[in-house]
Amino acid sequence: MKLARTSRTTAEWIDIGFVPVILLVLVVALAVLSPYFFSPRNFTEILLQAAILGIVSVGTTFVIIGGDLDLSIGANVALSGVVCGLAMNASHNNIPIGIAAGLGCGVLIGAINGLISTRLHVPAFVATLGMLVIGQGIALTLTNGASISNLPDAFGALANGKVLGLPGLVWWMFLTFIAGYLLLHRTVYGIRTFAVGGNREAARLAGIRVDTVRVANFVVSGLTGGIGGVLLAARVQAAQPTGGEIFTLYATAAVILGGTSLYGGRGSILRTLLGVALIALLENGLELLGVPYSNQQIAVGVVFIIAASSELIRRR
Amino acid sequence: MKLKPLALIAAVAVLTLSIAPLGATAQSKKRVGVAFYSQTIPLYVEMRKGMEAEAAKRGLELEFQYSGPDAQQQSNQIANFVTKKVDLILCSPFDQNALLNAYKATRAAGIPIISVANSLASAADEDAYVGSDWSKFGTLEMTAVAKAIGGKGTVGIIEGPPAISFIHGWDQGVQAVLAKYPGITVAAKLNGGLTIEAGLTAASNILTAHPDVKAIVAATDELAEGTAQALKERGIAPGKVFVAGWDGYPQVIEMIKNGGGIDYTISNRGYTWGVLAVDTAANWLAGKKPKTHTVENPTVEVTRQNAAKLTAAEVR
Repeated sequence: MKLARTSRTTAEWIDIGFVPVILLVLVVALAVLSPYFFSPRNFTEILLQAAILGIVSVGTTFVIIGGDLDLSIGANVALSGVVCGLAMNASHNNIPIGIAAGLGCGVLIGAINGLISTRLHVPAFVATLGMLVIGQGIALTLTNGASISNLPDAFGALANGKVLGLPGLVWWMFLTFIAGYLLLHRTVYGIRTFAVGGNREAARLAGIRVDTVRVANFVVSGLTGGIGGVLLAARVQAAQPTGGEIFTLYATAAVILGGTSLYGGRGSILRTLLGVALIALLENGLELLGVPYSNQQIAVGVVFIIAASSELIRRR
Repeated sequence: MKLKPLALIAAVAVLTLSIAPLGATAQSKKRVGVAFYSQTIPLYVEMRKGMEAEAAKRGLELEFQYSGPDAQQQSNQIANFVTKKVDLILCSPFDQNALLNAYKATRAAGIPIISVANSLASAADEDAYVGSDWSKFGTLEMTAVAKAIGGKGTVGIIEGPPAISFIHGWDQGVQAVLAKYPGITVAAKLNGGLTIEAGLTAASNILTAHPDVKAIVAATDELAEGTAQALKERGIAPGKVFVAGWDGYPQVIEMIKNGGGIDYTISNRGYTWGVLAVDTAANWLAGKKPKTHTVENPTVEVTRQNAAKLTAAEVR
């Protein structure tokens, strides 16, 4: 027996098509306005410049769909990079040890975020904001404000070395998106994340261990923060204690711009990919047109608010 | 219902495009990309004025981008300049190590990149450097202080975050001079931020713990201004404690002239520095490379003895 397929409502079409259409309009407009925009070199640059944001946004997606927020990402990226750099300096440039230390730092921050939010019943907004400040302070203390340099060339090659014409960092971003997609949309854990974000009480009554799922989401976010921090240090071959500050808000912005609901329970990794693409294209395009960075931030903020307010249309 | 999303999309497009300057620019002028990391530090504000004036004279088109304290952002901006095929890049690198890859990529693309005010760790990685060896300023300042207090006594030092290259260099100069004056003891060496408030706090702490200091050596004019305020709050008459700063801000020069509590500064002559930077760039593009790798910017010491006699043109 074949079930009749109902056609999509207008609201659903808007929901699906909104961001891709904006992206298309943007690409066309920029291609017309700037002679440098539509070139292989520039597209490679866009991918490269979006990569770290893309990676950390994957983790943020989990947290937001699960009904929480993670505002500690900026500090996570910086501190993980610093820990990675320090570990390598202390171990005679042992790269695996550095990477393990950096990722471990990210996971630890995520776990602490999760535990504070669940055990201490502190709202995620507040808990992660606190970790943001603590993380920034620790990064500055460990480095005394200096960046950690003398990182081995082989480490830098992780991000900058080219594979099939694209820098390694871009491949890492692709891999993170694929892994994130599989984890969120093809596992039971992913389904539980949607359930917890959609209605925490109902999920609890249905037998889902809500706290465990929430902590796991924060750990995933922390992990991608750690990956981002390590790769950022690889990209510039130095670990900066203040690196990555912008990700704190941009990662959440990318997820919401893509169409994932800020209230949780609805969204997808694909939407995050679109949101990251939108921010990256907007910034790159405006910069090629000579718009100062400060004005680019205004543009991203405006687009963000418009996209977030489009949620009203979708919910009607 | 269908009109609203279309209207939104149109609004986004219009907003985005309205922020961008429309219209092609004349291609006959050579284009220089300027990648600075601070829009607010007064030195860079003055430099920009000088640069724009000289660019107008020499027929160059300048495009400024400010990255904020973020090496990755600055790397991205440099990469975007390369995509736009500028003829030359002037850069004040935020981090002497983390910008190395960006410089390498720029030179690999055949575009000269000249450092201004801050340099990379290794001179071989940049095409030229318009600035000074920062230790020179520490030497000048500390020598002036040592002479003013007769070569012996206790002094307090207020420096900034030691990771910033100009602070690091300044400190080396100061230490070198201190080594020559065994009669001078350093009562305290504090490093906080670079604001007037940071100077006020540090000076207050020094004066509380060591009321017998004969001089306070501040790394910047802001720190010196904070020091002057601390002395005023304690009712210590100007001149009893020798206060030295560095930068040459107009208000500080006034204070030196009028006995306002600061006794010495070095004017970086930001405007002239900017003129020199663009001059060097214009010469380079005309085929005349500088004779030495470092093109020194002229500076002038401002003391209680000469402050009244210096003209505005001599200090700007």
